[in-house]
Amino acid sequence: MAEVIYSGVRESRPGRVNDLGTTGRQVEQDFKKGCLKRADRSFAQGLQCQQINSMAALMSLEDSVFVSHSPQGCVGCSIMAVDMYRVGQAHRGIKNIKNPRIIVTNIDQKSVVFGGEEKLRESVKLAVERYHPKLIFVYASCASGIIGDDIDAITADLQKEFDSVIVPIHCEGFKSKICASGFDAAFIAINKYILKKEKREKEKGLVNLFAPTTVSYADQLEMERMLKAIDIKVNYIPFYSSLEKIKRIPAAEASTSICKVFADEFMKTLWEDYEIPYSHTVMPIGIRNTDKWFRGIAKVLGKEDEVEEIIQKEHERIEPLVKKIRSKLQGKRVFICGGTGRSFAAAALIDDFGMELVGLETPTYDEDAQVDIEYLNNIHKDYVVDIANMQPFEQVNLVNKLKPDAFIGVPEWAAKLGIPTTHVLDGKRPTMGYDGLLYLGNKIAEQLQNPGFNKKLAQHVKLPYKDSWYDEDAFKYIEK
Amino acid sequence: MAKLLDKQRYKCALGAMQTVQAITRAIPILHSGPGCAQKLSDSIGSSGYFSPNIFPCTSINEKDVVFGGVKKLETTIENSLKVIDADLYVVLTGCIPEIVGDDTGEVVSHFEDAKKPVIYASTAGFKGNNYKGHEQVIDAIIEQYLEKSDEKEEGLVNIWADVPYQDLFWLGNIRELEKLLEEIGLKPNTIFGYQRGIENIKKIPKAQFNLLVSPWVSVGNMKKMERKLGIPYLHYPTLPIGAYETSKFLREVGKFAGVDDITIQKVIDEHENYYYYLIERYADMFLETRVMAKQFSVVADAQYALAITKFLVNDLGLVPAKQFVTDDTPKQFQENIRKEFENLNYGLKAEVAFETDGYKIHNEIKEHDYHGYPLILGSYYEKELTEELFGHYLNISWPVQDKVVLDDFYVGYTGGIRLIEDIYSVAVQRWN
Repeated sequence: MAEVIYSGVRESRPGRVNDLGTTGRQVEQDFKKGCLKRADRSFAQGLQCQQINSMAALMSLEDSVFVSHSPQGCVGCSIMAVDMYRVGQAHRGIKNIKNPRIIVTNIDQKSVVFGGEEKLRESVKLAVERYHPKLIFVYASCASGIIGDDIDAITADLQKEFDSVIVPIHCEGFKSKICASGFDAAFIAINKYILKKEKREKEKGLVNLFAPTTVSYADQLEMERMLKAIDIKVNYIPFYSSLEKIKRIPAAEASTSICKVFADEFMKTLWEDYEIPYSHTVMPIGIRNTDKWFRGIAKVLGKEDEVEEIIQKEHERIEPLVKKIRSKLQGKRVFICGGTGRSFAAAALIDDFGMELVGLETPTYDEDAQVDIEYLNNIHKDYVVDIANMQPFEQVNLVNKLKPDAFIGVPEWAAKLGIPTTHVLDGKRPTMGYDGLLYLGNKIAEQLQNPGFNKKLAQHVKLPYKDSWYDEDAFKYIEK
Repeated sequence: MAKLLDKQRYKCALGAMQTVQAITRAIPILHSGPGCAQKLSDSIGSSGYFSPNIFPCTSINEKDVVFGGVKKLETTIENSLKVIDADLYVVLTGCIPEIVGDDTGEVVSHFEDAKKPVIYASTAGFKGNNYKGHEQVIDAIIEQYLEKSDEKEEGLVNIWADVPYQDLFWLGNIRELEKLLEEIGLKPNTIFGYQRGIENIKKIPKAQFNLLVSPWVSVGNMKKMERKLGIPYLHYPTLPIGAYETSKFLREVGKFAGVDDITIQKVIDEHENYYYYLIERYADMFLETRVMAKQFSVVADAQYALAITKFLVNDLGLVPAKQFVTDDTPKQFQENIRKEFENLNYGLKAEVAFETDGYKIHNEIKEHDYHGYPLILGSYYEKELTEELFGHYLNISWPVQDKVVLDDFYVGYTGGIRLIEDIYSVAVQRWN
């Protein structure tokens, strides 16, 4: 059989489903029996597309230009990226804060008929003329994909002319409903166009630490502090890194990632192409997950004993502080909604505070999720599981029925039901590691201490659904 | 349409989902790829009753690209009507269905008898920007929802201004325009914002005339309403900011509406007296702000570039450097807009560039001698530039990151005062 090359589309992995309404117990069994089938919704709300993730993954790379080969709306949200990038620079003490450099080729009616090749060529040419960057990333879009522009061939041709490394990325939005596919698309391109399977001499103690944009600088410092404690030199990528740091990837002795769906596939590739072992565990949020994450990378490097010593010290330091927070949160019922990594991490985290899980909303279910669910099922009686990428209509239906004491995740809709809310996707403040836990715990406790804003909001505003919707089965529109 | 965009200052036509969102209880249904709603949203007051993540969306996938997405659209509309509590459902098409040729109009026609109106607008991203998309949505309302009315309401005036959400101050501005018209005895009707919506849309055909306050956006909509609904229109190209322009505006609107001069003059006097009472109190600051150059540039859509230029020249006595219009103004309107820039007091003329390429704009600003620290009013992209030049910077156009606006506004007499407050708040924070 010919070797199957991973396409970057996360749905292509067997056993991974997107749309499902179930419970913790049920899904564990169904997965074991192999009964989970991919479904779809006959009514759904907007998702995030993978192009956003491809862009976010590489946004802060030093000396790069983004060329979005798309109509003008595909970079409509660039202000969020601009903000993230600028805040990240400020946190890192950079004085002359820069904007990211984003050019959109502006596919128009003519390009739809005759192709957009000329526009792409001109944009890349201008990117070089204007900014002389080391790197140019060319992003495909729904439109460029459908009209059939061959961005690989065009950029390969342009590459002959220019010194900047030109990297085309196949992140057409319609190809995947799982936006994390965009991360994979970016890494596939990095491997193909920058690393090129060329091996490098190993650097002793060097570890690739993969981190997405949503990891704050405080979290970066915490992760680096922990790894330094077991004598690891960190190659922190791709956020706020550079072409040089990317080129250093093959020199590492091991790899690990902060997020479960970020570089997980890429780390497999790094093992296959460069024999770099890796640790793929969980997102280091909460004591249990942080331990697990920490032990994972230590094991790869044969530092099991050292890590236990440090974990013990950290526990001694952190546990009395966690206990204080626990006294405020014990027994509170929680609904969690987040991305693949964060939702499960948050679900594990609440155990540190003795909270009870009543509902979990997460975008995909697969082998990895099964491991987490088995763990959660040992702690919590039973809870609703909604495999959904957002879908706020399902969420409010469930939250309204379950009436949790607290909601962790995208806060907007639960807040309008008067539930105290805390976001765990905090790209600007700490969330991770032992110290991040305290920050998060205090944030949840303070929200519970004064739920006034959400309560008042709920009294004065109404969510945009018909009253009848709340009586319906939340999973009514999932069609198998 | 503009060529490539470097530092883009608008979105695509599907961005008109925000125009729909601004109509209270109207919801866009997106027939588009999976990420469009998120990409076209931003955090400038868009988490209202309907927010982008709420918008129903067909999230077209690979299979739909091959086989068409009409079936998915049909169930999405059908179920939206069941689940979402709205007064008006506006189906908007993105790039994919328009490239693969889905007949959206045909699908929407199946809902003619639905309890709530369902209309559609063609807003593919490759067809134009969100200024155009905005016009498409209003055209859709005119074509598919409104009927000509024989009955007219005396003094009723529909007011149209620039694009909601694209314009940071849209809500405050339109409310203030309403107030000004009320003061001269007219009955304003608008469709955007709090307590406006489907009932106001229904009133449109009864108006005595349409008032368009915009350099070019919606001129086509006005013509369409004139043809189909028999409503004449007054096109006032300058968003009136400050005393000079607002008084001129009131006189012109009053004349068109047949309001007598005395009534108009009384309203003007009252406002101007208070306006100059405020200005006088701070005159020392305006006269002696040593750190601010007299020259300024605005980098914004035609609306703000023109309005702020007129205000700073005619009311505050500043001198225009080059001004930059970044909204991809269609060619046929450029000449008239240019003339407006050349029609300033004391024979002053402002040079204006219709330029969508942020890189070129930044280079021109860097090369110009502002005779001191420049005042740059523009988008968030101009922050980095102005910092480089040690200038004064105010974020007044999209994209916005530096300013939170709930219902603040720059239009009218009060709006002029607000803009002065904002500019001088920047000035006094530095080197004073």
